Amino acid sequence: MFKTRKPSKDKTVILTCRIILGSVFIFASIDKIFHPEAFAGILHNYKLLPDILIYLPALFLPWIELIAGSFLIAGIFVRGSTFILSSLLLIFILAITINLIRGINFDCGCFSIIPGENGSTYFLLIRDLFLLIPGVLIYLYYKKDRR
Amino acid sequence: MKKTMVEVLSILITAVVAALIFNQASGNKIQAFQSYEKIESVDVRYNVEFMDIEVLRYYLGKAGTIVLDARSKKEYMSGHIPGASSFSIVEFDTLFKERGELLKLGSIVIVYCAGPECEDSHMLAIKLSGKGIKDIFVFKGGMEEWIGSGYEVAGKNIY
Repeated sequence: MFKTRKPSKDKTVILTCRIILGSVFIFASIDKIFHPEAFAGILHNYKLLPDILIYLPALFLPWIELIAGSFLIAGIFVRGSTFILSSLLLIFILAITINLIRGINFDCGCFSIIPGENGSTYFLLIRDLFLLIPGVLIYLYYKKDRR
Repeated sequence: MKKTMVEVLSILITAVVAALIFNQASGNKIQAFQSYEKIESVDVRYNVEFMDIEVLRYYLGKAGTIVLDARSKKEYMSGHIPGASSFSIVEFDTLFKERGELLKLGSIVIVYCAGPECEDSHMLAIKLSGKGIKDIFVFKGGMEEWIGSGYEVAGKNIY
């Protein structure tokens, strides 16, 4: 007879997930935005992109992280932001895994452009895998949450 | 799904526009479609130059020469170029607060790290240059070339 309302607990969980994921990416973007040249050096160290394609992500990637992270927290284009941030996480996981397999020692540049400030490669991989969880939850349940 | 893709596109366009505007206004401007070039000789962008091992040996011990080891303190403790000070890139902000003024007094600053492949020395040189330190040189061969050449390695002498 009456439409069942989603319990507010769900909303809180989704909001928490949005704040966690959004904050991580906003925080990660700042240093890279102010030091694009150093970030380009870090991307070069991944040894996955040809030299001609290094500056392109060095310039745009941090801004994509900042805008999508901010939108996610502000509740603007939530599913779109989640899609982008989760896709970025998958790309990072793939890049880290490839370099682990190849045995290349590199700095991810995830949060800081200063080498050695981003933790060990295995830690990065596990952290990125955990960060996929809030992304998946938001993507799956945010639509229901809006009803 | 279509709505999500429209959202994705809107976010990407916003980010690209914001990045281009910021890049134009920024002091650290880069060219998006330029081919990446690792700093190999003289980098005028950062006022950083490279130095080979013989020139390094000439300057070692001379008045006004400051040699900085960009590796971690632990690596420094395990052996470094005689006369070098530990200046780990990881602790840059703290160390610069402590010794920034002293570095400005030097006539030449030489930085090095583990070897030709490590970029900590490049990063340290760039950061020092950003803080207004002049005449910075990177000894690209680092400890690897120093040890390989059979020169003396100093031990536990932090400063």
